Amino acid sequence: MFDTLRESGWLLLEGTMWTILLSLVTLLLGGVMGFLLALIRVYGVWPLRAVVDAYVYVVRGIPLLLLLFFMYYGLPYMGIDLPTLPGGIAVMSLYFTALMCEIWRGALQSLPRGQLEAARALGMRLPLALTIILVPQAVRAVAGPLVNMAVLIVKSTSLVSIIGLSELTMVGHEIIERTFKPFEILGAIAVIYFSICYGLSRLGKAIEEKVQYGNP
Amino acid sequence: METHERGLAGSPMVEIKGVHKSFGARPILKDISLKVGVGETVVVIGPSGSGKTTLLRCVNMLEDFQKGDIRVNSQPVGYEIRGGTRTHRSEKQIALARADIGFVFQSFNLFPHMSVMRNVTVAPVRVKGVDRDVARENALRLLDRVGLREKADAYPANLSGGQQQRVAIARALALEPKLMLFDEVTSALDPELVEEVLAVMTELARDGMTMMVVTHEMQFARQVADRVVFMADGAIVEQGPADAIFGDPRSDRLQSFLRRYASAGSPALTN
Repeated sequence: MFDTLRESGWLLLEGTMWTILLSLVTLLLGGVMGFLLALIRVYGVWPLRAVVDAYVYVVRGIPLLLLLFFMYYGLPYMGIDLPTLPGGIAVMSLYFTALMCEIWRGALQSLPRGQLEAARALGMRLPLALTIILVPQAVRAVAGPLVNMAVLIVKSTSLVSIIGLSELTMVGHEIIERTFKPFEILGAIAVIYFSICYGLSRLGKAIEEKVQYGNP
Repeated sequence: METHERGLAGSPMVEIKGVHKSFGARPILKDISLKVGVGETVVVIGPSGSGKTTLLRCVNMLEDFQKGDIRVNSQPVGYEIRGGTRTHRSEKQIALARADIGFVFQSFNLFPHMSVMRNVTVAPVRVKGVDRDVARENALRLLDRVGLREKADAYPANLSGGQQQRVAIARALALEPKLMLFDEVTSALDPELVEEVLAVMTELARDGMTMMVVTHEMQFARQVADRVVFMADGAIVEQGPADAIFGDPRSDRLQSFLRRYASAGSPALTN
């Protein structure tokens, strides 16, 4: 068993790196785009708001796997042939943009009405009030949910193996085909996923405590 | 524009003319007209739902209104007449006007992610471009005035309600407003914390600040108000000096309103 893992170690490590990279890029792009869309949803004019609403509802109602198939099998028919990595990143980011838009929207809407009113009463206009009053508070409110989302993202990257991106699950699949040791390899992969996600959860707890209001 | 030049020296700080506001078919404010002179403290009393808070919020455009005109320091706040039509002023113009009007809320609305110092300095620095060090010095002076200088580095969550409200007053004063609006600022406080906030307001009134105060504190109204305005059902029913309003109420509405306070044991009415 350990021989198998030693031989496959580097491959698993490489797969892990891709999983982490894909997760990070998705979290970053999805988080930022989700934030911008949430601003439109909460403070935007109605035609824009309607577009964002539609986007969020449509994407949320479709399985991620199906979106990946669309990208992988569907788009080439339309003459768009995305390489695996950019394609995977695009689908993951667009999908999690919709989910994270909801988190940001909830955070912005949960802020007491009086915060914006107080900012306005002090002569601030919306952009300044957002920058220094509302968004800093929303960031504190999303810190916890965003870490949960990161855990979900890490696990969801395994789906991207289906379109041939050699992340952790895909690498594991290849090793199993070569070595016929499914139990050891799948176990090792599970431990790697678990370690990343457990670490994230602990990080989330620490962050949530850190952003409590008041003196330390 | 200059037709009122002669009267400018004595022109009121707040001039409310024929203000009407309704939510759908339900009128909230009915043809309200009211002037507040420079340095005057006007206390607005009345039953819940009488429109007094709404009126106060209209003065700095936290609420819009459908008819009428409100001027502060002879300048329009939210609307202006351009070419015969009443138009909403730009966000920029409204924000500029608001920076000269202090507003203190019932629920304090301090910024929870900022220290007391930063709460007080953020608007002068970011809105008016005051130098950070100057703003800090000014803030310390204001915190001293409300008795909270030693709390400069504390966060709102670590303060009592009365302390938070005093910080909120200091925050509003930091913009050096010409007018202060107080919206039931003691209503959310525990009874033993009310006095410390009223004391700050009393001192402010004595120092000559122009103030509009919506409150249920009849004792405060009686002692501090230059003029008391009684509102009911979206209209001003009666107004006058505190002695006249509390000692010799004319209208039935005011009499029954004051009677209810008397039976609740408010000391303002028992002397």
